[in-house]
Amino acid sequence: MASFITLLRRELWEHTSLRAIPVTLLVFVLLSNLAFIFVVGSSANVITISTGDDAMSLNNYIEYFAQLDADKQSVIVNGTMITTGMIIKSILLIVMFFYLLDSLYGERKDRTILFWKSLPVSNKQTVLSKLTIAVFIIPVIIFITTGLANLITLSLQSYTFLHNQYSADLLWQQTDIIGTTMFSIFLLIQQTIWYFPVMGWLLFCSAWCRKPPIIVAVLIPAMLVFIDSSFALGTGISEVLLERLPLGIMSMQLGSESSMMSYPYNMSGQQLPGFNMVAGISLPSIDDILRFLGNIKVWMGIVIGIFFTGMAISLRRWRDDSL
Amino acid sequence: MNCLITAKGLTKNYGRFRAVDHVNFQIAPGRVVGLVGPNGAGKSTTLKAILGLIKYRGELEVFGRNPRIDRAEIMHDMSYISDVASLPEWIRVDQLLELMESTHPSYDLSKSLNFLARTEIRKSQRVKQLSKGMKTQLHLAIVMGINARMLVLDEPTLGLDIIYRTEFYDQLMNEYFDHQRSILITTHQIEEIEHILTDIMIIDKGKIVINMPIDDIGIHFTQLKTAKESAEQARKLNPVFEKDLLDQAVMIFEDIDVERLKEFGEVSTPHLAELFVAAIKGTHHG
Repeated sequence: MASFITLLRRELWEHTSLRAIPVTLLVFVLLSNLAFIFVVGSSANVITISTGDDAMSLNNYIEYFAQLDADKQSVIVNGTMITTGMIIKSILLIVMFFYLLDSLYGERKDRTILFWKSLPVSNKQTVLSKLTIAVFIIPVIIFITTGLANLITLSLQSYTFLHNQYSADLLWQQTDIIGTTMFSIFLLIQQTIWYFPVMGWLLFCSAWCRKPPIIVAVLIPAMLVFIDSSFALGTGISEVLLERLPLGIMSMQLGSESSMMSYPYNMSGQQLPGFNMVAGISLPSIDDILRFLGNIKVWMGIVIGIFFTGMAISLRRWRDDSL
Repeated sequence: MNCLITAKGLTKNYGRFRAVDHVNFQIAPGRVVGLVGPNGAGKSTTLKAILGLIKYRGELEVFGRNPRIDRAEIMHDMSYISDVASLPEWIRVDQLLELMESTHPSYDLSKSLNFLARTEIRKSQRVKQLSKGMKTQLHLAIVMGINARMLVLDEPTLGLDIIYRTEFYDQLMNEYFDHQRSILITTHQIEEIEHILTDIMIIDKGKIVINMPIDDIGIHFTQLKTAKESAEQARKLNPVFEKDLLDQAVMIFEDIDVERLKEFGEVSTPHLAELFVAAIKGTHHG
């Protein structure tokens, strides 16, 4: 177990982007908020904030916000938090995409595989450590980064409210910390399960390819979709691939990754669990979760993900420093 | 004899190219074995088979295990240094030491630290900040900490200047080798390891052409320096190798009566480098 934890740490040592990008995002959130307060706030007559029909200064905007009913205030406050989270998640999922593609190819490209294979560490441990980074560590990084980004935003917004003679309670009373936290957790868990086969596929490509794996990883699914769609073969492979390949980037709906889960909602016209700019946060019910976990497509995806991971382990057994 | 490595009929093909061709050898504890041969002779392929990095045909046992199945277990008792390029450039020295301590059950950190203390390497440095010589020292420091039964070195001093090369082998023999462990070295620079070897395996075109203890070279091979006018007579005794040296001919004979050779000129035991050239360019076929 100690060696497995060290293998995880080794991944974080090597892939500095897994630390640098969250820190950069937090600095960006901090600077954006500071710019908003000190540049926009101090030039209220010059720079205005658009709120639909009217354009108003920061001070007027806070006054406008204070007069909204509680539901609308809640949507604005929590919507900001969830949108921030979605942007952070999307950027870090792109990082994960490239991390997985490089994880087993890079060690052959720079010949360090000879060193890694000189350690008494099995191929299974090595590959699983890389998969663990994708399915556990990166979602945790997304969750923590989102939490810190929202804390920065809320703290600086509180300062803005106080600075403009409004109570920060106005902001905090509408902040649904439990709701947004649960939303993030549900979203990350559900998407990790749903996109698990894609992660397995990326690992497999990384172990398999002798040229940069991004070409094969993208080209093969794209060709399958193109052939299936162009010749109207009706194999259903296009739907299967297209609903998984986006990797959850820019997705805010908890049910959208599973047609089985979204089916009752589509039939009734109700909003899917997730976030909506009108209705705000809607967490999944126990029925929604059970429907998701009872979906054969979810389990098929897990089996395919395990298959590709197994193939990556098997391929790494015979990989040396030749590409 | 309880051998650390036993190969029988070891064969490896890359497509139609046969890199290693039915090779047989054994390595016993306490030996320093040189596996030497020209480029493409099959040295690195043989090592990769021992390390469980490639598929092969034939039988191969390392510490009684099959390296195709038990690579990770074998690495508990084996250290491996390829040329200096294999250490990850991004890693810091302290991270590397932590990695070794966590993954290697028989690793003794204090031995590595003691070795590093005598170098200019700092723990906060990244591998990419080190010179080639320092990288080799770092690799050696790691090896010092591993209580391995066998050390495999694949061109360990490639690209190093003569000072570092000499220092590397001196430190290896003085501080690592203890007559319980074995060392298997591949190199082009045979003259540098000649003095530390107990056994020599010369490989050419995938086949082992000479495999014997260094002490037996004098028993089996004899070098003759003879005047050119006597060379024709000596040539009738079928030398395995011959070259001209100014007004003399130099011949190497295998399993010959030395007394007969003395009639033609000066006889001696060939140096390893001369035997190597004879094995590769001569008529000796193992």
